[in-house]
Amino acid sequence: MSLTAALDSARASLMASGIQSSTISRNIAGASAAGYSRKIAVLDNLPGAGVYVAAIQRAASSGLYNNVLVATSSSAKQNAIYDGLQKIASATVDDTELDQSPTAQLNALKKALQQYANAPDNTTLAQAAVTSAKDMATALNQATQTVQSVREGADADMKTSVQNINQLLTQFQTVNTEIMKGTVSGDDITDYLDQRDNIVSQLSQELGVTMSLRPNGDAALYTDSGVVLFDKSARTVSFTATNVYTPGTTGNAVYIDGVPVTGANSVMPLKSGKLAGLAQLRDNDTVTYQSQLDEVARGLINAFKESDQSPVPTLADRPGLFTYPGAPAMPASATVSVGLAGSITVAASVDPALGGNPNLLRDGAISGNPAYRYNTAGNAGYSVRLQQLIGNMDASQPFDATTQGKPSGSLIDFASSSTSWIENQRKTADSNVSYQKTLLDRSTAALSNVSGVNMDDEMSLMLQVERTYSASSKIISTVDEMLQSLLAAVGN
Amino acid sequence: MMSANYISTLMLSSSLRSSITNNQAALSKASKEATTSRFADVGLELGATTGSDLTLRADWGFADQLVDTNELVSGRLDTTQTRITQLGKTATDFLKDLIAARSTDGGGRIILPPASSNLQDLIGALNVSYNGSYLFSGINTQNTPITTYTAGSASKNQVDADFLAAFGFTQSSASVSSITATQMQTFLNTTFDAEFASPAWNTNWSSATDQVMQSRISTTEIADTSVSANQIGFRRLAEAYTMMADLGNAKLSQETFQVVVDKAIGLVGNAITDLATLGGSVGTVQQRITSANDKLKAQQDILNNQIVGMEKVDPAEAAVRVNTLQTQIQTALALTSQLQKISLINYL
Repeated sequence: MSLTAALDSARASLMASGIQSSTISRNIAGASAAGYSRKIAVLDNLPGAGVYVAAIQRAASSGLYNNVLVATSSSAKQNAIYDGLQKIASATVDDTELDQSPTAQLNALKKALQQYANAPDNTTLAQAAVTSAKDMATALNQATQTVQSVREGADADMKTSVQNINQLLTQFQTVNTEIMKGTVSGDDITDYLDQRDNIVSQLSQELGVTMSLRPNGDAALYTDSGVVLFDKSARTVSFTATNVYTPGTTGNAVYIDGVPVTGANSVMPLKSGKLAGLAQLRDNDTVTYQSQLDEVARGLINAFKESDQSPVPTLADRPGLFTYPGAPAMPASATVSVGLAGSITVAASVDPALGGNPNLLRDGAISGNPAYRYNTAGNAGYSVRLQQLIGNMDASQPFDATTQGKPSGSLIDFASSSTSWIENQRKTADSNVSYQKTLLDRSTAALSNVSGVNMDDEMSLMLQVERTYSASSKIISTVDEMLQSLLAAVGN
Repeated sequence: MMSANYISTLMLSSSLRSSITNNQAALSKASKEATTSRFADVGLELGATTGSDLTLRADWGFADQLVDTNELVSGRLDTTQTRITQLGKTATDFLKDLIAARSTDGGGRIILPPASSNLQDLIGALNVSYNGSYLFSGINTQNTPITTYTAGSASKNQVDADFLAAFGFTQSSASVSSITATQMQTFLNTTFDAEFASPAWNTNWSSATDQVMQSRISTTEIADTSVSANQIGFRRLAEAYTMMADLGNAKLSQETFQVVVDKAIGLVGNAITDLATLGGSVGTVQQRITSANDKLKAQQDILNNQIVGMEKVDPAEAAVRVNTLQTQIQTALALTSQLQKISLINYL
């Protein structure tokens, strides 16, 4: 009977409108949540029974979503590197105007020596030169501490990052299971899908990750280097933190399911994400910069070394003004002596604060052996040794090429090349950060424009649904009237 | 379906928001640059060339230091030069007196007071100190270079002993008149000359070293910047003054006295030439310092220009940037409130 059919259609329409408006209100509620994807109630027709909601779909684009993941990971990596380098650069170089850099400190020492050499009988100037030398040694010691504390910070952040990853993987497992169940039973799983995407987005902050979809809504996770993070079950990401770093310390690697993914031994090293950035900072950049500082320290010891002054020299050269725990042997030439910048000191025999005699800087024999005495006659105006020291600071000497600094040049030149290196790393990281950030912004915008909610659109959809609802209601009341008049006619 | 024209409400508001934060960061940088005329973060801006910037700054600083230390060296040399000139002038006057006294009766008595005062004057001049160090000491700057010539001093003792050994009596003895011209000639040319030559000079008269102070006057030049009291000119003067002051000249026979005076005239004449040469070489070093300073200052100007050139931001350009950014931020803020108004809700 067609009137009943009309009534059924209208009823079905009311039901569908109800679901539609509930979808719209979900969308409006999620409009300002990043990562919320627009839900669409898909209407279908059943012959003879009218319209019904066949499914709730979500607007999504896996291509754009992957772009966002990649951009997030790359951006996080560069950010981690930049932050670390920024700390080092601001502590060891700062503004060039402030004369904080190793180059400026070396020059201050050279200036103090020049003053002293001009009036070698002036003890105040001798003390000033020694003070300047102590400042130099302290600056190198502090720079070492800064570099090592940045490494400690990176290590601690890696620990946090790994904890985060494990937690996210556990959440991923829970949500993934819900999605699989819902897919099989045909439930609305769109909110779970959003949640799963969100988890993966958060994961991509920590490490480069790709998600591959399987039948029944299942998903597997891989790192950008191809190591399995999640397949049916979450893999364990493990990392043992190292709390204290010295220049010789090698940090532990991060393992995923027993496979190292950072460090020199990793076969499939992580390419992006915060974890990869921190590992690069901890294991490469800071280590290189430390080795440059160590070379500056070795160059200093070398420039201020003392030679046997006997008529027929037989003794080997010894560290002079600047010394280190390995004295009286000289550190090996043109080879990084790991951690030297942290242990270099001014010899106690010259330091007035330790009861030493600053005039030894002029006279020689700082190491204590009279054979190394330059000012044999003990003249107060003897300046030859001081002029020689200034000359040594300017003289070219070989440096370890693995430090990526200038392989041969004066001490000041090498220190400058080291500053150039760290500032260049920082500049590169900074331009990478801004590039990746732009890319991330663009990808996020593109994704949001595909999967996000437009309130105006939802509101006009709401009007449409409202109209349908009132039309359907009208049909019901009209059919009701018709049936009533029919019944009245029959009843007469 | 509608992706090309579709925009999510979230993006609509957040794109403006991120543009505001970006512009504010740029604004803080631009306003710093506009006020300082230097890059806000020099190292970040220069990158791999930061090292050159630092080297230039170091070179500038060292040049500055050299100009400073050259001041001190100049002062030292000025004093040295003055002393040498004065000694030369005194010697010239003395030479006139000597020539006059040579043929004067009792010339030995007349010449005695200027001779002994000149000797004290010479010793005083050579013992001058500048900024805490003795100028004519060579590098033994903490000790007075010349022993005073008084009774009991090493120099006087030695002269007395030599005289006694040569003639058998002291300078004050009446027998002095018996010394023949030949005896005196021999004494002066051997024993007495040896007294003013190394090693006796260094033992009895001077503790100065022959090696003199050396100073770096430019980045590459090291110059001798003092004069040793052991210079031949000073020794000749000391010898001439001593022989006129302390060989008992007043009592010598006229013939013997003339031998002494002739020897002294020769010594003083040579000494005047020596001092002139010495003054000339000091002047040369002074000249070198002046030209080194000029070069250093020119170098500093160039370095300064290079440093400024590397770090400089055109303040006008930065100010324009500040203005533009301000306008952009204001526009973005205005748009944000405008966008809030164009919502369908307002029309329902």
